[in-house]
Amino acid sequence: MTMLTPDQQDALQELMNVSMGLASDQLARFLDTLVHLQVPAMQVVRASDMPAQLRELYADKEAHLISQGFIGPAGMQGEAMLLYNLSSAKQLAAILGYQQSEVSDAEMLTDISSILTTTFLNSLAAQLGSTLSYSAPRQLNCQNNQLVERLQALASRWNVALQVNIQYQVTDYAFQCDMILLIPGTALQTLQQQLDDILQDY
Amino acid sequence: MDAHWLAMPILQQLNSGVLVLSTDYGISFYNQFIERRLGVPLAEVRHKSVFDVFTDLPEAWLKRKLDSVVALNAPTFSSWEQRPYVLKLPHLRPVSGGSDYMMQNCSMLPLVHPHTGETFICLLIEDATDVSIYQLELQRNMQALQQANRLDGLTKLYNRSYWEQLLQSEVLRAKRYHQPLSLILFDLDKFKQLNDDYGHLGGDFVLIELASFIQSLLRESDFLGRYGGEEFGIILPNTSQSGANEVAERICRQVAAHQLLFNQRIIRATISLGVAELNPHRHQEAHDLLQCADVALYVSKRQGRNRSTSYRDDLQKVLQKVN
Repeated sequence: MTMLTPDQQDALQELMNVSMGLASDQLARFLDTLVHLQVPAMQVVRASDMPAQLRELYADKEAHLISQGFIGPAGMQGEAMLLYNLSSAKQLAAILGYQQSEVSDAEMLTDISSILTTTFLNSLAAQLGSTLSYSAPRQLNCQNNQLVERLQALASRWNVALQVNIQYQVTDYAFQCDMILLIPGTALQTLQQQLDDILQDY
Repeated sequence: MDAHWLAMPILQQLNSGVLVLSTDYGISFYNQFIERRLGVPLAEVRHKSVFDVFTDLPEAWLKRKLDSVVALNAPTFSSWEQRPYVLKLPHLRPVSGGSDYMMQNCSMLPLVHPHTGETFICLLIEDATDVSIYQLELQRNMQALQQANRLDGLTKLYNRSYWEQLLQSEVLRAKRYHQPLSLILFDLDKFKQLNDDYGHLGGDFVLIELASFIQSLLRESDFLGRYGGEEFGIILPNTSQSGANEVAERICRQVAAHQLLFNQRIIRATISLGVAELNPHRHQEAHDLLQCADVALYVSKRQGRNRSTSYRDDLQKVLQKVN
């Protein structure tokens, strides 16, 4: 399986930076506060190789895993996963503007995940001249530090993983989560084609 | 074929609810699925606020959701697992349905009018009542299974493996909080004789009756379990050895005085007991405490049964003398 060329990877990183910018702008207007989203270097890896890198990051912590499927034209499809630690999840109600009693932890997590995933991927798809539809987000049970095992099982269904670590800064709150986009080989080909088209225009 | 004519009939007959709202929460459209369950024709409520038409809507929450759809131009979702329903509607399983209202998965999607450019919000309502009922049944069965996994089939007391787990966690707890913890092991006297005299049914009957009788003598915080064939254990949290001795002697007396009626014959059974208290310095594990109680129980047997013995370090010597 061919992975991205250095040029394609650079182009994708650039598109992601722009998408994050657009997403944080939308979020800021919605939340009526300053939102700063930062994308450090993303990694493109074989899906089967990915969980090992996350093992250390989420070991010994109460982690949450939210999954949301997406599908677009020309075989573009995949699964977006967001990983949180519980400590950062606790602040979500305040960020979302909910009263703590109004929503459960699970609802807050699926809500913020859906917002982050869809605003980010919508921006990314728009830059690639495309649109996406989404399934409802689901919280996957991963108690007793089963997160990595769970992720491994999910990753085995896909070929490629784009691992993106997202840092949020929402005025008084700072928290971070990891977004992992899992896509099949056919979607990678579509993505490569779209990136090549953009590169040719330069 | 021109497919445009398909949209309306399918929208009306769709087995999901479709509700379209303006950005200020006014009702623009709902399909037949919602109209029939709500019992109000669309024409009567068009342009009215959704909060005036549907009762019990979680207003602050829903506004926040709807606003996010418009502001972010992105879908948002609500699952029955977190919020049983958004619109309070009846379901079509009035007899077998476990709940009063339709459980719902709801997707809220942004819509833009192709000509005016006006934004609307579409709420897609899926009936999840069946799924929720199966889920509930599954949970109940899992609980029953877990319960069955912990109990001894004959006496309905905790079985050995679960009772040992309880003992282990109580030992850890007692050590952590520096609280006393005592253990009573007891054994039915001359059980083989009982089986010979009254048959195995008689033996089983005595085990069942004594289990429930002794359970009735204990506090709710004590854990009685069947340790082996005719051997039982009682975990007494927050109880010193002298307190446990009193409990053991009372049980011993009351069991001996208790008459069991089996096939018109009165059975008198006695038990031998051994009592030990956790010594946090010398007992590394639950097993060490069990061994002390077992030595004390053995002494009770050796000294003539139907009695309780409190563990002391010199019991080993007593045993040697008896031997």
